[in-house]
Amino acid sequence: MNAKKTDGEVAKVVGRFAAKFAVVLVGLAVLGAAAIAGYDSTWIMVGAGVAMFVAVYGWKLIRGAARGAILSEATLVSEGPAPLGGVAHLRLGLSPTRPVPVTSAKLTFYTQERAIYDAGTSQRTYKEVIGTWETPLDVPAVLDKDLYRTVRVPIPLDIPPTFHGSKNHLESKCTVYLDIPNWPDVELETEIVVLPEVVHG
Amino acid sequence: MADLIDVRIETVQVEAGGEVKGQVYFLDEVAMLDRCKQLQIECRAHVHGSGSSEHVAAGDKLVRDGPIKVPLRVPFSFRIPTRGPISFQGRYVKIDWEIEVRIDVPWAIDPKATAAFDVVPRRAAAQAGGDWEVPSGSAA
Repeated sequence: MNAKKTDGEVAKVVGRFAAKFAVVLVGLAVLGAAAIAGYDSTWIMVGAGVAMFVAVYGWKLIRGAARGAILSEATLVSEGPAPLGGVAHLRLGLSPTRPVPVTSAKLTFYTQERAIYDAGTSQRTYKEVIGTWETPLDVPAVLDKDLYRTVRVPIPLDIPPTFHGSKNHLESKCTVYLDIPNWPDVELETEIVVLPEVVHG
Repeated sequence: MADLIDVRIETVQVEAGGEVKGQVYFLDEVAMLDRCKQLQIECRAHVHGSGSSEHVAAGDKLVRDGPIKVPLRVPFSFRIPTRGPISFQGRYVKIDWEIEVRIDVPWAIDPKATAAFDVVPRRAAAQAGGDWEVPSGSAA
């Protein structure tokens, strides 16, 4: 049941890296041009450096700001723990500030194990996704008013229940993706607590 | 030394929230047991794997002070926490439940013995199931 990345998703990841690389190249070109023209390049260097840093490391900040520009509220909240084989309920809330076209929307549920190894001052994290399940979400093509929905997510029987130790974790999460044309995607994530109970039928 | 201590568990599979029962037998006369300061029996989940290892205890340790006069049989009973964790063998995280018996002997290597058992999810009352479902028409 592991979901492979579709061609579109691969293209999006490649495009994101290409965009960052392009910004770095443009920054270097501006610096080079300033040096050739004989300008005092101190402030240009500082500005280009900050721009490159934000482009490379501040992607989440940029995406958050972009999301805030079109959605005044975007929440995904779990209503409570769910047993294995049962159903988890999530509350999805979206409040657009202006009409927002939505190309597609999907909900992904995944379970992962996460282990943190401490050795002196260094720390290493190991992650393994055990299973991923996804389904399209029925969202209007144009989001022009507030949308509040309860999403029912069936919990598979063959995943481990949630466990949070100090260094070792077994966790299940749900992510909602909204594909918005010419705009960074909206991505909302919440954890679902899976109880060590099995429901049959 | 561990073969002097025999840990017997009644059931090798226990549900989360259930009870694990058993007995510890001290099989042979050993001078070291006469010098025993304290006997400890602990039920715990050993969480290990690629990350730093840790333990989750099921209740308090069962402690018995004083020397051990063999033959001795010590019954134990521990309640597994309702939220587990359940036994799990993943790639990076492994959870093994065990009963550990440790004898504190002054100025000697403490004899100890462990016995493993599995914790599985408990059966719950039926809950309304279903496929992926997004109720329509609930937009505000």
